Amino acid sequence: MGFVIETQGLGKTYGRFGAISSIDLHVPDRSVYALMGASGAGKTTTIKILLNMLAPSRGTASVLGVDSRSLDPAMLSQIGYVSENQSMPARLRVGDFFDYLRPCYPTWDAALERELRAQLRLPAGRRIGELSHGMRLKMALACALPFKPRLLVLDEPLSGLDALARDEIIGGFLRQAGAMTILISSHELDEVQRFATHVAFLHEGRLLFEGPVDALQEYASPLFAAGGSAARRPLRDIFVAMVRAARDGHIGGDRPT
Amino acid sequence: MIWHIAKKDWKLLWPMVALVTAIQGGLEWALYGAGLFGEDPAAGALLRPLTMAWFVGIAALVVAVVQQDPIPGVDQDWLVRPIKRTQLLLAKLSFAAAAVCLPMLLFNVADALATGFALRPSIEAAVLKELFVLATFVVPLAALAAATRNMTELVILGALLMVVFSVTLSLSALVSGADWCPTCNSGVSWLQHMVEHAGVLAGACVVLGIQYYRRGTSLARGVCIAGAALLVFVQVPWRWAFALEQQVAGTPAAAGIEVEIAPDASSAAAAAPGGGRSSPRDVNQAVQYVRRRVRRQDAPVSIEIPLHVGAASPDDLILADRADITLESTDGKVLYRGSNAGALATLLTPPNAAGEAGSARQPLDLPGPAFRAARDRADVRLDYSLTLMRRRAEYRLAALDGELQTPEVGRCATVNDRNMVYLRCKTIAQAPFCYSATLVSGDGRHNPVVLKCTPDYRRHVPGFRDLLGFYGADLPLRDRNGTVYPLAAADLGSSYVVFKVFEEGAHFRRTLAAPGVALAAWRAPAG
Repeated sequence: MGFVIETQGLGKTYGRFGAISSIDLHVPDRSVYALMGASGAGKTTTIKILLNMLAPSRGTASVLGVDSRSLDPAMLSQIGYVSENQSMPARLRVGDFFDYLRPCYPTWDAALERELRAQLRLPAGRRIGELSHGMRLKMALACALPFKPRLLVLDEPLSGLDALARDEIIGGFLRQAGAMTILISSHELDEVQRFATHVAFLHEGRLLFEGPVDALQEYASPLFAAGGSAARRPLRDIFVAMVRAARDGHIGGDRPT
Repeated sequence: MIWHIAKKDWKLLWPMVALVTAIQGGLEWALYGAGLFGEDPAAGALLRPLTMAWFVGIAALVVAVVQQDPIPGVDQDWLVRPIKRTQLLLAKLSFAAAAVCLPMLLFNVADALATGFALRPSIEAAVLKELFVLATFVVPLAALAAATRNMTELVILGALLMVVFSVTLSLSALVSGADWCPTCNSGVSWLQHMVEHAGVLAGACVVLGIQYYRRGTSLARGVCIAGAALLVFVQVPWRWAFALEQQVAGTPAAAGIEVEIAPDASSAAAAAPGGGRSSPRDVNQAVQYVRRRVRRQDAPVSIEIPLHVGAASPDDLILADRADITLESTDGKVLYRGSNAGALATLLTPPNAAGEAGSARQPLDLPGPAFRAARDRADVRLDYSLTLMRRRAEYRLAALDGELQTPEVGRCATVNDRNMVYLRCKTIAQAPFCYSATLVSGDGRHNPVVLKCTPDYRRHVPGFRDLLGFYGADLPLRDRNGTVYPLAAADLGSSYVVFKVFEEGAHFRRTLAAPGVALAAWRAPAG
């Protein structure tokens, strides 16, 4: 299986503080890969390294077959990115921002752009800084899809949104799920469970698990020996059990004890 | 893509561009309206606030355009867009150049044309000036903006750089004395300025390269701080600067001109008419003051070296750009070695006696211990760096509302009141730094010559704010005590101003030796 994203021993430290350590990720082509963990687990740091916004302290990351440190405009034109922290030009109007982005991407589909803007009800004349948090995320998504990226990276796209906005966002990116690889980071475990094909659990900068969702349930079964199998358990329960096991030192090898 | 990014920035910043352009237009109008003699008081009053607004405006505009897509940080949208770093950098610099320099060029050319200068020299001078502004202000400011996230960070970094520069300069001056800057206040200081400008531009390019291609903000800020210190430490040695000036000037050696120490100290005439011991604006005085307070016995002692200056051609002037002095005891031991670095050049030929052999005094400060060691007897050696100033042109214009326009001096005019005749000039080329003006009547009577000679041997380096250079002289009708000169206000109708402009004829050196001198005899009179 080809991996769209692959990391080896990825680590990032800020002075003496280690944000992430020895992360090995393998994101398969055309998967919906959920990078999950509590706030501060290292999800955003990992994503920023993958997109060359941050330099890793250790290890390597390959994105679309290229070292993340060498991502050039040609590669970036195949990657869509949506983040709750994305700093867009606040004084620019929504319509002007689309005008700005359109020529940057050779594969930009103007019809798809119109469709997305209509579907997400983006007001062309409003300044970006005047948009609500949810509206800004919808706009970021509408900017990330029209060029039909091979990889869509979503960093906490559901954070702080109401149920309606979440559905719109999820519906927005899932409509192209089969045609692209999606990496989504979130601590909204229940929502992600609806569409993820693969998951990775991060806790305090360490990778607790990585693999298909089905494999996760099998992997975590020993943690639920007293209360039954992990099958069909919510991801939230599995994640909590794994974090507890990690704190107790029961996770560290191939399979929890 | 460069145009595309610039278009995006234009959509965001056009109100700011319009405001800065309006300020530039207002400033140019004020400069023009103020005229040669401040004819429009409103325009004159607006000059200062508009100049400040102009500086702040163009600085804010350059910073704003760069920080629309800031380099430091990890959340910027442009980081994940398929935009080449080179294109982003060029887009920012192009926008800044177009928004700041283009309107300035148009206003400057309009001002020069309205003042009466021809189109071609006006455009040439304006283009040169805008390139200078771009290289020495816009690009360095863009580099600082690229090393910071927002205006607050920029102000903090700017303040830090000022502190580093000031502390380094103070330490350098305290340790090295006046020699911390061998060329300061001299005619060859332009070489030091060129080195500084080139250094700042090179440093700015390095910072921009680090930021746009490596996003190494810490390294870029380190380069800025190191650069602020290097600006003080990197000084062109006097000998190199003067030798280079000789090469650049390409003027023949002044073989026939004699300068020697007057054999009889008491024969020295009046004090030198031009120059002085030190510049009022430099840090050397502050250092001297601190040193005096620390150790009173080290307080410098002022001496005046009596000189005999051999005949040059009529109307020639001789400037002593620098004097290096060595004092040795009679047994050959060096008592002191120093110079008058930092002091303004001394005019060795009095203006009324130009072309004739005469005497002059060279003011010089010696450390107290050195003076005391040599006060009774010492061998003195002086190494002079000198410049022969030759008359370039001579003009006459009426003392009452006279007007003159030539390529050499630009546009000049005279006005008067009860006490003074005012001569003022505007030029599109470099303003002359050495000129004299004399009020002369038709019957040959004249008032004392007014001579202005502050050496500045630079080739044309444009002014920062003004395209046009202003200069002039005030010709008093009475002396300081109120005694009327030969020509009074009533004579002005039949009088004219003789206006002479001098230029460098030659740069040359002379070594003077005077064995067995009692330095006490050269001590300058108190006060």
